[in-house]
Formats: sequence, structure tokens, C-alpha cells
Amino acid sequence: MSDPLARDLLEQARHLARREPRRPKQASLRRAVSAAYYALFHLLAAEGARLVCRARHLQQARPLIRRTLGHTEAKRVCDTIRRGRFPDPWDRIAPPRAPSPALVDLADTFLLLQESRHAADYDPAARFARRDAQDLVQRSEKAFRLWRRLNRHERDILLLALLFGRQVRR
Amino acid sequence: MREQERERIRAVLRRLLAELKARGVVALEWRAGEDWAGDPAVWVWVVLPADAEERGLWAFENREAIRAEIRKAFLQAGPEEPVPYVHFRLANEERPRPDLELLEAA
Repeated sequence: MSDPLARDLLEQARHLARREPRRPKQASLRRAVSAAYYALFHLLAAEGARLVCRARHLQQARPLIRRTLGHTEAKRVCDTIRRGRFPDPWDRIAPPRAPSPALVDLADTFLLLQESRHAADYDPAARFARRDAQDLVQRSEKAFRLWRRLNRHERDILLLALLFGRQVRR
Repeated sequence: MREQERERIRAVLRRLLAELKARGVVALEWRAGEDWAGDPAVWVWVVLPADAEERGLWAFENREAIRAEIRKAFLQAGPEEPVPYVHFRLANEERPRPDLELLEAA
């Protein structure tokens, strides 16, 4: 069961990418792209908080832990995984093999959505076609499916790397 | 980005274009620069024919296979090579930006 906020953002992205059937407004398409990214971002943030605050007495700390996920560190982690490695220093406790194709695909999707979201939110020169926005929403949907297929060890390493990045000293 | 690096990217894309013809790709448009984080980046727009939907070429599975081939080609080109951000459009749709370099299939 995925996080309600993540799920709702994904649904909102789908809705916005379909609006105005004849002449979609840039505002709708840009918000669709942004929501597609944030759906995945919040999925990972929520799962990370769940992993760290599993105990009942820590559950109220989950919103705080979610906020430790940052865009810059997430980019570094996902770019390393996309290149076929687990990020330092988490590679030491990662599975003794390269990241699975599903994890690489998820990391690649995160990076594409992140860059597209930046253009959608901040670049007035960018033009989004409906097809492009729908493609990005589909990528986000696929990332949700990939997430469910990852093995637990890889999922946990990804989440720890995303939440704590390089703050952990060897 | 220096011209030498641009030429390297162009060469990878030319090779890819020849391979991607089988997946219906008629052209690749690209640009290089820095992404939101200031890292070197490449953006690629894959151009599919105007009737791609009717021919099944716009199918998500085909787009994903094209993305995977592009990612693989750049990773094979060098460990620090920027991995492109890949977008798609149809040949009869407006170009998303005026500053893209066009590589057409022979």
C-alpha cells in the first residue's frame, strides 16, 4: 500500500495531463509533470520514514524523517545507481552485485522526472506537449510498479542512501 | 561544453540513430548544457513518425526500449559521460525548443 499523498499526486498528475482535450494549457501540463515527480518523491520519502520509524513509539516521527529527503542528495544517489553502482558508503552493505535492472530503471526515472519538474516549475521557455507530459506521468506510474518489484535489500539500501546520503561516516 | 565533447556526443547519437531506425525513430534532436544542479547534461528528443500511434510505435513499451538503448549507449561510451534526459515527440509536432541540433535517419 503506497503513501496516500504519493498516490493522490499521481492521480492528480494523470488528471492534469488529460485536461483541456483540444488545447491543453501549459499550466495544466506543467503541473502534471511536477505532480508526477512529487508523487515518486513522496513515495520514497514515506517509505524511508516507515523503514526508519518502524516501532510504534516512533511513528509520530515519520513526518520529520520524511523531510530529510533532499533533491540534491537524491540526484547523487540515483545517478550513481543509474551508472550501475550502489552509492558510497552504502555500497558496503548492499547486495554483492550490481543494482538490478528494475532499480536502475527506477533511478533513471527519478532523474528524468526531477529534471523535467525543474523545467516545468522554473523555466518559462520550456514548452510541454501533452504527449510529453503523459509520457512522464506513465514513467512515474511505472516507477511505482518497479518499487513494488524490488527486493527488500535493494529497497532498504536505496532508502537509507536517500535519507542519510553521505552523512554517515565510514 | 567544449566542441570535442559535443562531437563525442554527436557520434554516440549517430550510431544510436542507425540502430533505432528499427524502432521507427526518424530523427534525434539534442542539446547539451548544465542541468538544474549545474551538472553536465544532455537532452535528447526522440522523433517518431507522425503516424506512430497508428503503427504502434508510440506504445509505452517501444518508448521504454528506446530509452533503455540510449541509456546503455551512453553508459558504454564512458563511466562519466552524462546520461541523457530522453523525451519523445512526433515528427508533425512543434519542436520543443529552437536550440536543438537535428540528426536525421539516412
